[in-house]
Amino acid sequence: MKGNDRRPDPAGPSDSAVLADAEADMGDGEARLALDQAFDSGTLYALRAAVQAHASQAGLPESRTDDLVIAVHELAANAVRHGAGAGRLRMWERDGAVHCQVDDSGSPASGEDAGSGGNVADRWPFLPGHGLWLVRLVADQISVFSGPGGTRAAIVFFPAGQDPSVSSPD
Amino acid sequence: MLFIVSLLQASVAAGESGPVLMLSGEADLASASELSELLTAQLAGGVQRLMVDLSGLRFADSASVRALVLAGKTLRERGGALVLARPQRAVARVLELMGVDQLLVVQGGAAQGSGSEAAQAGLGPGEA
Repeated sequence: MKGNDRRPDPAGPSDSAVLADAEADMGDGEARLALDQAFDSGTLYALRAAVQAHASQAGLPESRTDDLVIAVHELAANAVRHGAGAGRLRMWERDGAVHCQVDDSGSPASGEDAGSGGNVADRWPFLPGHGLWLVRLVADQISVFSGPGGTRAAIVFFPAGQDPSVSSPD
Repeated sequence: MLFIVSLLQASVAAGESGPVLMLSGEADLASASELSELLTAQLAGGVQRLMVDLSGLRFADSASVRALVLAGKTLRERGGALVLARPQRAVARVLELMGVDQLLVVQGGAAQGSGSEAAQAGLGPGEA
């Protein structure tokens, strides 16, 4: 594999682990991996079903569960469309928040700017769908990074729809 | 007519004011191109108004909604309209997030099990 470059991203040192190949970026706190599932275009329905079941299990309200399923699906669909046609979802819970991480190992197909790296949002325009835009609307946090080894998108759903790191007065 | 397109099922019936396309199952990336073809086929022959009954559809992603929006655009350009009827909650949410209610007519949103009203919106004589 050539995609093993783990240099910290100067723009986001705290995200230096984000491009690590195999591990979920579960942070330091206590986290329990709930789901680790590979997908391709033909198995997105199974991915949605699994995410829905685990989100309910984690105690997300129904409407937030809908939103989480929408968000994970759109990230996975982007991985299928712009990655190597497949990807991997990992989902875990920490402090009541649901974290999902979608990885694809593909370099962009057919002559796209595979080498540009950086924030992949810049080369994920809202076409042909509005996938990433939808994710931004419903997720409490989102980060998307790409490197030579592929793309990693991570989202967080907080229990009350709020980011505790922002809500604490400063 | 009955089509099987992965997890998406579709059938077409003749309504009072145009064809009614009934979708059920789940519509996503894997079925988006087939959905486009279905819609395009229904738009043939100068159809002015196409009703898409979503009551059996559990999930629709942005790629599928995009196909619906494009069909709606075609109809608008010829003075017609695409009407989306009876979306379930998760589908109604995607329509709302994508601002589709600004582009298409959405009837009978997110009703769960209100049979008579739903039947009226979807298959009855309609509001003309």
